[in-house]
Amino acid sequence: MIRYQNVEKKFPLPEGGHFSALKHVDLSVHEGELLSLIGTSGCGKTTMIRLANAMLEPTEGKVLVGGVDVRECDKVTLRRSIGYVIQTGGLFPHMTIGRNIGLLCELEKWDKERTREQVHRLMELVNLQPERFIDRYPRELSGGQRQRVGVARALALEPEYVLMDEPFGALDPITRREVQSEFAELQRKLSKTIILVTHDLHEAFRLADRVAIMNEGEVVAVGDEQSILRSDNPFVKKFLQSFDFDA
Amino acid sequence: MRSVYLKCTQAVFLLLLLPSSVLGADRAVDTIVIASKPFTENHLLGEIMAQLIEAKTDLRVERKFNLGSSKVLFSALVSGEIDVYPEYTGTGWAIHLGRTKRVSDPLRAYVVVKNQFRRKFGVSWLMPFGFNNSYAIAMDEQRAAELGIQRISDLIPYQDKLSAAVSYQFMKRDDGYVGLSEAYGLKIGDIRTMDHGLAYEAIRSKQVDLVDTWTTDGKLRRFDVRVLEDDLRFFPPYDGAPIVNTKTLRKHPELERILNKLAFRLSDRKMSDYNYKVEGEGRGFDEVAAEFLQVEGLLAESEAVQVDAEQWWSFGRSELTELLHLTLEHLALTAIAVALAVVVSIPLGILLTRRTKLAEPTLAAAAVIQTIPSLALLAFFIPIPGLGLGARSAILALFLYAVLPILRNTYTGIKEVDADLVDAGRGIGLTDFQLLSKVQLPLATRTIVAGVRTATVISIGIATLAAFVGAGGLGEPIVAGLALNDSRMILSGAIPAAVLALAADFVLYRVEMVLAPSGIAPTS
Ligand SMILES: Nc1ncnc2c1ncn2[C@@H]1O[C@H](COP(=O)(O)OP(=O)(O)O)[C@@H](O)[C@H]1O
Ligand SMILES: [Mg+2]
Repeated sequence: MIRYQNVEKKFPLPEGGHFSALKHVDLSVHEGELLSLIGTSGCGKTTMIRLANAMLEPTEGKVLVGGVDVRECDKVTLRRSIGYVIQTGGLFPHMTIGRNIGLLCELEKWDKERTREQVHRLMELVNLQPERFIDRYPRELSGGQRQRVGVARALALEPEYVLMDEPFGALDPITRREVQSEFAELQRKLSKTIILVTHDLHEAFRLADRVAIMNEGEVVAVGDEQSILRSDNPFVKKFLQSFDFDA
Repeated sequence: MRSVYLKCTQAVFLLLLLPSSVLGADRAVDTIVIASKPFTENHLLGEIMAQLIEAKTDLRVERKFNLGSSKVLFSALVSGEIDVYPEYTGTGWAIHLGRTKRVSDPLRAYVVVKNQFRRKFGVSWLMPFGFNNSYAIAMDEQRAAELGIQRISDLIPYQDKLSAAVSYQFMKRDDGYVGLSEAYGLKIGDIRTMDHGLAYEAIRSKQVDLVDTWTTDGKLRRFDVRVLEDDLRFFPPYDGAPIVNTKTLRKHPELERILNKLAFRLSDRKMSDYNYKVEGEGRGFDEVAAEFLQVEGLLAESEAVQVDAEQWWSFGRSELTELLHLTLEHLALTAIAVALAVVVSIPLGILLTRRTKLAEPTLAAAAVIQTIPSLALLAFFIPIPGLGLGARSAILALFLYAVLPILRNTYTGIKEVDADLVDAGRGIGLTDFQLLSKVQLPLATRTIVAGVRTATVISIGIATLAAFVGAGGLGEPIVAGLALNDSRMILSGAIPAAVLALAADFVLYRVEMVLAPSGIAPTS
C-alpha cells in the first residue's frame, strides 16, 4: 500500500517565496490496485509519483510505502523495490536492450544465468522476442518497443510497486492502444500495486481500478469510473466534458 | 595581450640574434679563412681542405694554421674570424659543450655535437673524414710481452712498477689521464708530462714503458710498441670533421658540397699513413695534401666515389636520427603534460558536476590561464626555483594549457547527458557512483576524449616554444633557424611539428571512435 498522509509540497521560487505544488493530499493506493492519477498539465501528478520513491521529500505530511515512511528508508533500497517508468522511456542509449533490462539484476549481483533468464522472461512478458531484440540498442527500436522495454526494466527486480509517469504519452494513438491493452493483460497476470499517471481519461478508465483526479495540487475526486462519472464537483464535470463524457 | 606576446617574442629573438650580429667580423667576402690546430694531422687536414676549395671554387683561401688551443680556435670560428677548421667530435663534446658525461657511441657523439653546435654557436659540422682519432695507450712491445699485457686493465697489477711519459694535455684532461685513472682505478707509479716528441723518444730508448698516443698517429708506427685495448671503452670517440661557421655556409653554400667530398675518405689507417708522410718522411704539408687529393681523384671533374659505404650510411642518417630524437622529445613533453592534465582535469571535471557552484569560477580561471601568451607564461616560470630553464617549466606551461579543454569537456560532457536519463537512473535505484560509472561517464566519453584531443593538438603546437627555455623538442631548429634567419632550418622543425599535430589529431580521433559507446549514433 502507498499512502499519502496530509502531504504538502512546496518548491522554492527563484524570485523568492515558494510555490505549493501539492496542498494537503490524502490518498491511498491499495495492494494489487492500479490507481490512475489524472489532471491537466502542471497539476502535480509527477510530484506525487516522485514523492513515493523519495526523488522528492514532502514539505509537510508523510508518504508511506508498505507502511513505512519513505524518509526513513535507504533511498537506493527503496527505489529498487519500486519499479519506475517515465514518459521518454529513460533507456540508456549505450546499453543493449538486454543490458538495460538486466542492469539492476547485475547491480544486485545476481549470477549471469539468473539475470539472463529473468531478462528473457521479462521480454516475453512484454511481447518482445528476446532473440530478435536482446542485442539491439534503444535507437534501433520503435517508440512502442522502447516503452515495452521500459516496463520490462521496471519489473526486473520483481517489485511490489510500480510508478508510471505517462508511460504511453509519447506514442501515436494506434500504438498506444496496442500497448495499453498489452499492459492491461499484463497487470491482470501480475496484480502489482501501481500508480499510473496520465492526462488521458480514456486511458485511465481503460486501465485503472480507481481514478484520482487532480487540480492545482489537490486531489478533487477519487473512485472507479462510475463514481467519477457521477461526481458533482464542478472541476470534475468540466474535466469530463473536455473528454466528451456527458456529465 | 597580443602586443605583450609580440614584444616578448621580439625580445627573445633580439637576444638570440645579438651575439652573431655583433661579432660578425669585417673581411673580404670572397676569402675563406681555414685554420688548424697545432699538430700534424689537423694541419694536414686544413691544407687538404684549402687545396680542395682552391681547386673547386674561385674563392681566395687564407691559411691560418697551427693556432693555439682548441678554445682559441673555436672562439675565432664562432666570431667569424676564421671560417673552417678540422675538429673532433670528442673535443666538441667535452671541451666546447662541456659535457661531463662520457659518450662511447660515435654516431651519438656526432649527432649531439652537430645539433648543439648549430644551435648554440651557429657552427655546422660537415660529414666526418672517416677516421676516429681517439686517445690510446701504447706500451713498449718487449715489456708488454714480458708482463702479458693486452688491455689497459692488465696494467693495474703492475701499476706501481710502471713508468709513463704523457703529453701535458693528456695529463690534465678529464677524457685523458684524469678520467682514465678514475674509470680503470689505475694509478701509474711514475708518470711524467713532457712534449709528445720527447715522450716518443723516451719510449723508443726504453726510458719509459707507456706513452699516450692516438689511433691515427703516424710516428708511432716506427717504434716497437703495442697499442693497448681500451677494454672499458673509456676513450670517447674522436671522429674528425670539418666545422664551418654557419654564416659562411649561407654565403657560400657550395662549400658544404665540396668539403663533403672528403667524407669517409680517410680510415684510421689511411690517416696515420698520411700523417707519417709528413712526420716520418719529412715531406711538406702542401705536397702530401696534393698527393692525397690526386690519389683520391678529388681534383678530377667527376671523381669516382670510394668511400666506406657503411660509415657513410650510418653518419648520413644523423639528420634523421636527430629529427627522430627531437620528435620524441617533443612528444614526450606533450605526452607528460597532457597525461598530467588528464589525471587532474577529469576528476576535477567530475567533481565540478557535483559542486556546480564551483564550476563557473573554476572554468573561468582555467580559461584565463589559456589567454596568457605562452612565452609570457614560460618567462614567468624561469625565475621560480625548481622550475627554471628546462623541461619542468615547459611541461608546467603545457599542462596549464591542456587543463581547460579537458576540464571543460569533462564537465559539459557529463552535464549534457540527458537529464531524463540521469533522472531515470536515479529513479530506478542507481547509486551516485553507479550513475557516474555506468551512465554519465560512458555517455561523456566521446566529449572527454575530444577534449584530450584538443589539448594534445594545442600542446604540440605550443611545445615548439619549449625550446626557448631549453627544453628541446622540434622548437629547437625553429628557434635556431629564426636566430640565423635560415628558413630551411625553421621548416625542418615546423613541418615535423605540424605533421605530428595532424597525426596526433587523427590517432586520437580514432581513439574517440573506438571508445565511443556503441549504440550512440556516430556523429562527426
Ligand atoms: N523542481 C521544481 N521546482 C519548482 N517548481 C516545480 C518543480 N517541479 C515541479 N514544479 C512545479 O510544480 C507544479 C507541478 O509539477 P508536476 O508535478 O511536474 O506537474 P504534472 O502534473 O504536469 O506532472 C508545476 O507547476 C511545476 O512547474
Ligand atoms: Mg508530469
